[in-house]
Amino acid sequence: MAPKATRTGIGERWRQATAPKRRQRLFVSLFLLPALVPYLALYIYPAIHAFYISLFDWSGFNKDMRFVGLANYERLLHDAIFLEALKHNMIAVFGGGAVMLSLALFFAILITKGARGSRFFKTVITAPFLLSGVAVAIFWKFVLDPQFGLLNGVLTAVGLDNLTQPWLGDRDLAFPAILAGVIWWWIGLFVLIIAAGIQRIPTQLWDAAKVDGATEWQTTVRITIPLIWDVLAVAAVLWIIDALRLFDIVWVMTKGGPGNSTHVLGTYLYSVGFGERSGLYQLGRGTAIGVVLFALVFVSSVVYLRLTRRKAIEY
Amino acid sequence: MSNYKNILPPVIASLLAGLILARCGPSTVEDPTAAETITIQWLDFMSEGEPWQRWQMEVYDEFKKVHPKVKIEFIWAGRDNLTKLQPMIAAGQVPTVISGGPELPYHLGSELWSFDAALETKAWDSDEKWKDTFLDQLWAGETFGGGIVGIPHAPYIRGLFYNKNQFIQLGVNPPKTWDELLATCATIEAEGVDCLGLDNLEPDYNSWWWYWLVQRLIGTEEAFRVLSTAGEPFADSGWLQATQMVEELIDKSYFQDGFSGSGWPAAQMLQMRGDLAMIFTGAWLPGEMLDSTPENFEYDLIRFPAVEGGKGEQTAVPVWANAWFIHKDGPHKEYVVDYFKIATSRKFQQLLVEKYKQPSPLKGMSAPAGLTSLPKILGESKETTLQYLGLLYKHPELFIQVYRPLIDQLFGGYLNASDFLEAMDKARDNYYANQ
Repeated sequence: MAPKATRTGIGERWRQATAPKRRQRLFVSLFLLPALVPYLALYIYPAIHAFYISLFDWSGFNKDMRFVGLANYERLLHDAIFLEALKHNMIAVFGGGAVMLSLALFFAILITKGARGSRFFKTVITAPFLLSGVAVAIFWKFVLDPQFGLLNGVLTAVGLDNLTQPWLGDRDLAFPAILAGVIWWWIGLFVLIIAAGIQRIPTQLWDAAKVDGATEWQTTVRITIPLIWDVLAVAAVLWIIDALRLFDIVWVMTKGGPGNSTHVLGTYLYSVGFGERSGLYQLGRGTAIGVVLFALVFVSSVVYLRLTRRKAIEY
Repeated sequence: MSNYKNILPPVIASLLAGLILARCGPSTVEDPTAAETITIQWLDFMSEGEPWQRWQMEVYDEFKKVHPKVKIEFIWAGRDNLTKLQPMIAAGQVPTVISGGPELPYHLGSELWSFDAALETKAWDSDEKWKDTFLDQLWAGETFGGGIVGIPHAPYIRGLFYNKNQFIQLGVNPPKTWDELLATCATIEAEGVDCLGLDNLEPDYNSWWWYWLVQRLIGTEEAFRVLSTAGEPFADSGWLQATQMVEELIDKSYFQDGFSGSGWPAAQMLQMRGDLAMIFTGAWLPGEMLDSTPENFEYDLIRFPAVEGGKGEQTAVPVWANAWFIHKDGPHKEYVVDYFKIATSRKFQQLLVEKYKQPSPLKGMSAPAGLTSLPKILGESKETTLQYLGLLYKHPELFIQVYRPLIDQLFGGYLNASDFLEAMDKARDNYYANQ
C-alpha cells in the first residue's frame, strides 16, 4: 500500500503545484476565446471547406456537386496555363524579390545616411504604396500604352524611338513590365521597413569602422546587413507572400493575356473559378488552385523563416 | 325605383372593375393584401449610374404605381454579378431575377424558369402577343432545353464602326467586301491615319476578326463542327485563307501602331481624335463613348465585309442580347413578369432609345444615334449567329483555354498561318484526349 500511497501523494502534490499555472492558462484561454471563435469560423473553417470543395466538379450555381477525388489536382499537373502561372509567381518571388530587396536596401541606406533631399525622396518613394492596386494598374497601363504611353513618349522624346515597344503586347516583356509596376507600387513599404531597421543601429559602430578605414561598401556588407538581418527576413517573407498573392494589378493590366503570357495563380484561379463572363465556371477546379496557392504561401513562409532563423544581434 | 335597383349592381360592378383595371393596367396579378409587403431580390450586372441602371429606375417608378406593395431590392453588382450569385445560392438566398449576357443560360440552364407561357400573353400596352413584339433574331440566344429562359433587353450586333464625317473628308466609302476594305485601308493609311483599331489586350477582341473571316469563308455550321470535333482536320482551304487574311492586315500595318500592347479604351480614344478610321466591335460603342464624342463625329456602322467566293452566308451577323432571367426557385415570379412587361412596353422602350441612347429589343423601334444602320443590317441579314460561332457558349473551355491563346499568338506575330492551324489542330485534339 505504501508505494501506491506515495504515488498518489506525488500526483497530488504535482496537481497542487501546477494548479495556478493551469488556472492561468484557463483564464488566458477564456480571454482568447472571443478572438478564436471568429478566427476558426472565418479562416480555419473556410480553408478546410475549400479543400473539400476542391474534391468536386462544381460550377457553384446548383447543388450538383460531382465528387472527383484528387482529379482537380492531378489535372493541374498537366495544365500548361497553371504551370505557366506558377512560373510567373516564382519569377515574382525570386527575381522580383531580389530586385525589390536590393533596391529597397539601396534607397533605405540613402535615406538613412541623410543625403540631400532624402526627406523629399522618402515621400516620393513611399507615395505609390498609398494607392490601391487597381489605381496603380490603370496608371501603369497608361504609362505602358504604345500610343499614349509615357514610357514610349519619353523614349521618343530623347531620340530612342527604336526602343519603343508595345510593352504589354510582347509575350517576353509583358510580365516583367507588370512586375516593374508591382515593385514601383510596393517598394515604399520595404524602404520604410529596412530604413527603420537601419536607424536602430548605433552610429558608433559605423564611426568606429570608418576610423578603422572601412569603405562604404564594407560597412554596408559587414555591419549594416548583418545587423538588420532579422528585418530583411521579415521583409523577404512579406514579399514572398505578396508575390504569391498577386492578382489585382495583373488582372486590370492584362487579365492574364496576351496568350496567357501574364497569368499568375491568382488570376488563373479567378478565370477558372469565376468565368470572366465567358462561360467557364469551374469552382472545384478553381478552388484546387486556391488550395495550392495557400499551401505555397504557408510552406514558403515556414521554410523561409527557418532558413533565416539567424539570431538577431543584440547591440 | 325598381329600374334603378336593376341597373345599380352592374353599374357598381363595372365601376369597381374599371377602378381595378385603371390601377393595375393590364396586369393579371393581384397586389398583396394591405398587411403584406413583398420584397423581390434582383441581382443585376449593371453598375449604379450606367444608362441602363438609370432607365430601370424609371421603369421601377412605374411598377410601384401598379404594385405599390411590392418592393424590388436591386443589387447593382456590375459585370461580375455571377461571382456574387454563387455564394447567394450557397447561402440559400436565391434572387428571383438575375441579369446577364447570353452565356448565362449555359451556366444556369435548368435552374432557370421558362417564360414560354408568359410570352403567349398580351404585351403591356398592345394587343399583340408579348413574344411577337420582340425582334425574332433574339430568341435563339435565350433558348435553353427547348424553352425560352431569358427576356432580352439589350440587343447587340457586331460591326465596323466609323466616323461618317471622317470618311467624307478622306474621300472613301464604307467597304462592303474584303477587297474594298483593303483598298479603303490603303487610301486611309496613305493619308496618315491608321485604318483599323484593335485593343489587343482585351480578351477575344482580336479573335472577332479571325472567327468572322472563318464564318465568311467556311460557313457557321461547318466551322463550328470542325472547331468542336476531335480529329477533324482544318482541311478546307478557307481556314488557311482566313488566317492569311488576318496576317495580311497585320503585315500591312492596317491596325494602329503598337496594337498588340493596346488596352481598352485606347483604340476608341484614337478614333475620337481622328487618328484611326474603323473599329470592329459591338453595338455598345456609341453609347459607351456618348460623353466623349466630339461634335463633328458621327458614328455609323457596317456589316463585316463579304469575302468573294466564301462558302458562308455573306450577310450573316452575330446577334446577342443581355437579358433578364428568373431563377426557378425565386419567389414572386408573377410580379417580375409584370415588371418586364412594363419595361418592354413601347413607352419605356422609346425612353430607352431617346433619353438613354440604347438600342431596343422590340420590332419597329427607331435606333439611337450612332446605330441608325442597325435595323437595316438586321433586316438584310439572312443569317444571325451567336458570338464566336457559338463556341464560347457551347464549348467555353475549348474556346478560352485552347483557342484563345493561339489566336493571341497569331495576332502577336508568334505563329504564321500554317503553324497556327497546325497548333489549333493539335491543341484541340490534346484537349479532347485529356477530357
